[in-house]
This record gives sequence, structure tokens and C-alpha cells, in this order.
Amino acid sequence: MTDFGSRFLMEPSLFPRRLSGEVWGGEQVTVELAGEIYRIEGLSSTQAASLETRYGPRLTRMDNRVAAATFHVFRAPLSDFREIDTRGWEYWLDLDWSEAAVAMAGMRLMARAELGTSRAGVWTSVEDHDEFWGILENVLRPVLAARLLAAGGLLIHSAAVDGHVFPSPSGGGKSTLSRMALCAGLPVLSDDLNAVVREGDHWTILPLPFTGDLSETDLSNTPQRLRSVVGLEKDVDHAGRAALRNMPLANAVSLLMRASPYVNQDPHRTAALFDRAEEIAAATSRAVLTFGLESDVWPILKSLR
Amino acid sequence: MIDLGTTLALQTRTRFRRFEEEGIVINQKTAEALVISEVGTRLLELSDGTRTLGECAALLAGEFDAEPSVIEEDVVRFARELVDAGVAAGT
Repeated sequence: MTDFGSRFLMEPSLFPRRLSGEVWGGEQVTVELAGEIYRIEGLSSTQAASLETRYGPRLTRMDNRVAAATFHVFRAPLSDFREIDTRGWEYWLDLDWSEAAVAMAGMRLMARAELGTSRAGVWTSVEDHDEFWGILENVLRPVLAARLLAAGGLLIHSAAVDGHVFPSPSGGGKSTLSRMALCAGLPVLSDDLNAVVREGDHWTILPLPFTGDLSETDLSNTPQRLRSVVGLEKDVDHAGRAALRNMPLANAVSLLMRASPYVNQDPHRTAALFDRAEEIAAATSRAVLTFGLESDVWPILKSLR
Repeated sequence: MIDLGTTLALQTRTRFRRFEEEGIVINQKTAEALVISEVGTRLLELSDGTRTLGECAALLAGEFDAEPSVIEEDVVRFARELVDAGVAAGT
């Protein structure tokens, strides 16, 4: 664990190795993500309300269904964490993957998730209604990514529109394209993170409550059958016309791997990530779309099955 | 200094796999995934930690229709690019 947590923690060597501690309270909720139930326990009433505000109808209180993953929330003193000047700072997490678990350190956050049992401990000093949900979500996302990969799916940093997945890094045009789709009356699942899972002989994009610049109220909540994987290129010449060209298999696999957050830094499951990216890329149409703000991209995307 | 006497090896946090004619190298430190050309893919397959770049180039010259000197130049240039990208080390 060289260097792990040193940016965020006063004493990285004291990082919790067991899922134990003093809980914040007796509240528990469940959240539905990609068709699975995630249970969060040990919450104070303020923390539970924070999650209820964030996840709305996806959240249930007093839910006795079997959970795919369980998160235990524990208190940690503020003095455990380094003060971070967030001016101009882009949030990131320190992740340390092992065969059996992933450890995470972030701003006022420590977490440890056991990958086999999908049990996680979350240690934080934060209870605030407007801040707590973000703390938990920083743990939810990597665990979701690991669960999806283990279960045969993939979490993809992407926009998803009408069955097309557009993997892209931040600033690559996902939100712009999603807004263009909304203007064209097309269903958008997310402009930031989408879950792709296998269903029988095809792949399906599942809605997630993780958005980029768009509001969740703009987005569709209906799963979409995956039609294509499309790389994005901005029309730097401002020619105005959209253009589509074929994308070779290796380029599509590379694109999907680069766009698979968290798990693409896990050295223990690289083979699974290679396999999954290839399965998805090989099963769908693959293309690169060049577009600008004035481009009418949707007619040419119809050529993709 | 990378030359024909260098032995090339991928860094420990780097993984490689072939896809049809091309290959992909993923750097798990930076989450970068590079698509590697057909010749580069074959070079990485031949770079087993014992062969020098010169020995790899000799084998490649038997597999690809190009002058040995051209193959040698390509091999050294590609090895330098991999080292500069932080995905391989030369010894």
C-alpha cells in the first residue's frame, strides 16, 4: 500500500482492516442500482434523509429484501483526515485493489469493500444532509463497477442514447450529445455512467442515477437494447456535417477499457476486463462519430443496427 | 538508451493482449489503453524477457515482407515509444 491514502489521511498506516467501528445510528435504507439491491446500514436520521433526497424513488426504507451488497457506515473523527483546499480541485479517490478487496481513501472518507461478499465499511466524519450522499456515492460507484464486472457486465463512462453507447472521458462531448438527443426527442439514459449487462443473446443498457451535466428529470428510466459502441470526435474544423466511420475491434476494446472507471486500475481482474470489453465490442456495431453543435447526427446513426 | 542490444519488458502494472491483428496495452496506473500495430503486437509477443530487440527484429524479418534494416529501425523506434509512454522498460 505504498503511498495509499497519504493525500487524504493523517495516518494512512491506521487505515481500517476490519469492517467494524461505531455506527452513526440505527437507520438503514436500500438503493436499487442496475437491477440489484444495495443496503446501507448504521445511518443517522440526517444521513438517511440525505440519501432519500438523492435517490428518490430508488430508495426504500425498512426493506427486507436480500441485498447484493451491504454498506456499514461508521464514525471517524475529523482529525483522521487532512484538510484539502478544494479550489480548482477535481475530485479523485485513492484506490488500492487486492485479490479480495478494494480500499478507498478520499476527502473525509475511508472505505473498504470485500469483493467476494460485497460487504463494505465506510468511515467518515460527515453527517451533513447536503454532503453525506456524495461521500457514500464515492464508495457506491467503485463497488458497482466491481460487481458489474464480476457478474458479466460493465460500468462505462459514457452517454447512452437510443441504444447507442458513447464512451468518452470528461470533456469529450457526452453531455453535448445528450442534450442534442433530448432536443431531437430521443431517450437518454445517462450522460455520465451507464451499466451494460448481458440479457440472453444480447446486451442491455440499464439506467443509473449517476449523471453528468444533465438532470435526472431529463433522463429516461427505461432500459435500452445495446445497438452500438460509438467513439466521439469533435468537429474541430466546424464543417457542420456529422461523419461516421468504422472502428476496428481493437480500437473499440481499447475505448471501452479506458472508459471503465475504477476497474481499469485493478491489476487483479485485467483478464476479465479484456474479456468483457471484447465481448461487448464484438457483439455490437462499432463506429467513430465526428460531430459539432450544428450536426444532425441521428440520421447517420440509424445505419448502425 | 534503447538499441538492438536492449531487452524489452512490460512494466509490472501493464498488461497486454492481442485482438485479431492488433494488440492492446493497458497501463493500470494511468488507466490508458493503447492500440498496438500488427508489428508492434508481434514484437511484444516475442519480447519474453530474454530476447534482445535485435533478436526479435531477426525473427520479425522472417515473418514480415520488409528489409531487415527497416524492421530493425521500426523495432527500436517502437520500443522507445513504449518506454517513453511508461508501459515498458529496457535493460
